[in-house]
Amino acid sequence: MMFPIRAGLLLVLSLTLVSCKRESRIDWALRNKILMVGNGSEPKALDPHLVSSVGDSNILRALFEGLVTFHPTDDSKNAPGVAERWESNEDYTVWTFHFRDDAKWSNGDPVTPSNFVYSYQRILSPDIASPYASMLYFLKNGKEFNEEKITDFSQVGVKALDDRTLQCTLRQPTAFFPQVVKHTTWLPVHPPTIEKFGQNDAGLKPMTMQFTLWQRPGNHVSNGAFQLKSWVINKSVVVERNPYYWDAETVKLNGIHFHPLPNEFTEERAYRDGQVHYTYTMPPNMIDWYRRNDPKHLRLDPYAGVYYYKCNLNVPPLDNIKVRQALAYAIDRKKIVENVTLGGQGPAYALSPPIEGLYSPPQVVKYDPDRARALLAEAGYPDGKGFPRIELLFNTQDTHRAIAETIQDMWKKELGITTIGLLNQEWKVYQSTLHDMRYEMARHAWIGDYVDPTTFLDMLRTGDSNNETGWGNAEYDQLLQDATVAPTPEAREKILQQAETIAMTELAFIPIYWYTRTTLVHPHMKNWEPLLLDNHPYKHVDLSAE
Amino acid sequence: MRRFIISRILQAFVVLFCILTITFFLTALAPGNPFQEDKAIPKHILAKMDAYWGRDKPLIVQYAKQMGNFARLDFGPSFGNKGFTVNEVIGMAFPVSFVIGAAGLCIALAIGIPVGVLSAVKRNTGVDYSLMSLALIGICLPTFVIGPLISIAAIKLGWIPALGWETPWLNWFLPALTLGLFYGAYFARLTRAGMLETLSQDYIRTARSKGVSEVRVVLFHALKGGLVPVVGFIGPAVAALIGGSFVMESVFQLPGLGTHFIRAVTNRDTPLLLGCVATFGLLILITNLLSDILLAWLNPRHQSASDA
Repeated sequence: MMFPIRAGLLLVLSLTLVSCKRESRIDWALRNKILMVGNGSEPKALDPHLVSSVGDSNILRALFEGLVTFHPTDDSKNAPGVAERWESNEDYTVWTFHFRDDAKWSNGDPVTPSNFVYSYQRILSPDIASPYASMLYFLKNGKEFNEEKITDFSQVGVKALDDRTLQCTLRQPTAFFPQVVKHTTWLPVHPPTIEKFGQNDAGLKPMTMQFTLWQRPGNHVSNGAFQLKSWVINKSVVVERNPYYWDAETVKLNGIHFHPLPNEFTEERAYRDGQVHYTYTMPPNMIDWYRRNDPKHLRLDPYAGVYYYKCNLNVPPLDNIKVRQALAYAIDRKKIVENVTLGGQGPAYALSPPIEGLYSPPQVVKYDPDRARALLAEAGYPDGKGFPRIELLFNTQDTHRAIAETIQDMWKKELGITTIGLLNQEWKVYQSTLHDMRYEMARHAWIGDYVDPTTFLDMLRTGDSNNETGWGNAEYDQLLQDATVAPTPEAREKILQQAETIAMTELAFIPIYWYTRTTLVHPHMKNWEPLLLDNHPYKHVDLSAE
Repeated sequence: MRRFIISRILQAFVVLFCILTITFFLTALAPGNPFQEDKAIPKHILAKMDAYWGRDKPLIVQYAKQMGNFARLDFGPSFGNKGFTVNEVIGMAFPVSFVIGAAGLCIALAIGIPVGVLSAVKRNTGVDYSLMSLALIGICLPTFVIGPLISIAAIKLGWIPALGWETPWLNWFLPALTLGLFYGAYFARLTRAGMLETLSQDYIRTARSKGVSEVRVVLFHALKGGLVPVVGFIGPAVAALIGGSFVMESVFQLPGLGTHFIRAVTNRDTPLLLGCVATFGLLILITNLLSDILLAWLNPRHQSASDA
């Protein structure tokens, strides 16, 4: 008698196990209003002054709020942040920000203009060695202070006029300055917290201590829509609602889990398993599958970024403009985006991508193999004969290799050049080779920091630390300078187009494609509109099954 | 036995010292700066960072500092995870790797030993051939193939999470199963080989001739000796299992030690790398020592050979 009873119980148990699926994480998240995000690599820090990567900025955008903040549907627009309004003088060199009186830190302290002055002094202080301090070079004397040419911070163009007003004096006229202050580097930190955890026996200033415990859950104080709840390395950074946030009523979510998912295949599986609502990226070879089978999850949004090849002008034959032009004209960019990158990227015929209502880049570069052959012959290498051996450098990654092989093949077929080799290096080695200019040609990419063509065009200035090609053109530099005082936006666009025409004629930077953001977005996610910089203000994001 | 253990511990420290020294100098000689980013960081900022972290000091001074840290078992701050010390990073990751590795080992033993014993007992029969073929397939299929397959099956079934570490009481199973299947296949083949050798010994023949039942012969007389090859392999295997596996952690998105190992290399995070190397080295040395002690217990001849 016992056996049938046991067998029956076992059967019921097995059937229960099979039929009752667990509540998926997605359903749990929907019930609790918790957004789960795939966020690339593990964050290097949760300190706005110590980071430079996109993934780190995503978390900091949830934790902190700057003077001005991102608009949920159009990132060329500005939304009020800590400042409820702002204005500039006539020539856009002095900007005044008026603080709201209910802006508070997550411990209840008021957010004051002097907090921002402290923060800007901190990031510009050479001792903290902030990797992205150059974003604050917009401030008058910001660069000089950062480079230790001056030591008195009161000479830097930022001042708390009173406990509600902050004034920024700029190095040069900048009409788009409110765009700039939305960047992570312009976020404030809570001075008493920095001072408290920065105490040390070495006699160093607490403000500039890099390694302190202030970033830990329990110690971390922020002023954004969310505050830090937990941080487990390689698992998640969890943020929860900040009860003191001035606009807490707008905030829809109760929390966000940022998961580091550096492997795109693992991330895609995590998405399918309902572990994340949103992926940081996705495997290019799965885009087509999703397009055909599950299109409501796939998002291909425009993204302000450009992929290009840099030429080192100190190396022959790349010092010859005709060689660079020949190489650029022989690249069929359409073929690359349609067959290799696969994510709906745009073939790039200029460096700055088009920005609707603000800038259309000039069409100087094109795919013209006949002209390319003629130019190469004029340069002294007809049909590629006698072309010296050069290496095309890229960091080890399948997509970079596939693009490089395709272009290498185009140069071989169209120009007869067989002496361009491929050289891949591990990430850190590649970076040092690139930054020390020990390369001949190298792949690189640039993602815009703010919605303006100068975020791309500025790096081509003579001697800019991101130029790294040896290219410099006085007329180009002058045109960029002239653009700062252009009387109208149309006149400014024209000047910038002239400047870019020069750069795209001399082609130290050979554009390949403009980025798109290829991601998987769960239908539960609401108010997640395509944004050019992909900087979504989380306070508007909602989760709903409808 | 005591002399044997003391001498092995002393040897272990010499080995560990050599490993750390080689790791330090190899990392120091590798090109690339830990603080360099994709967007060029101005030279004066890089110099400041190097000075802050003591990277501007002569190599020998940096080496002495790192060795001092090791002596105090405090590896100092991690370059790549600002705000965390190496000890904290390892302290967070090691328990995860340990749970997965220990569970994987249990599964591997639970699969490998019975299969190996059964194969040996049914030597050269259909059962033996099929079990050993399966084991061979298990050995040939790397974890980065089995892992995603198991994970995809879990997505389809929806019973337990396919990856992650949000619900550890459910999350441990799939990675442990993946490791268990892989190592279980090894254990099965090793057990079979050990059992075959033992079953041909004189004392087994004596036991059988005394009329001891076959089950008793296998489980009580032969198994102890038959496990000698498994125990020999278990030392390094346990270290590899609980030291964390980058592949497994990447496939199942686990916050374990293996990921830190790889990231420390790619980020040139020397303190973290030395911490990981020391942890892994210590694990190997401890598990090898334990496996030697166990071997000596299983097979007294081994002890006298080691003592000599």
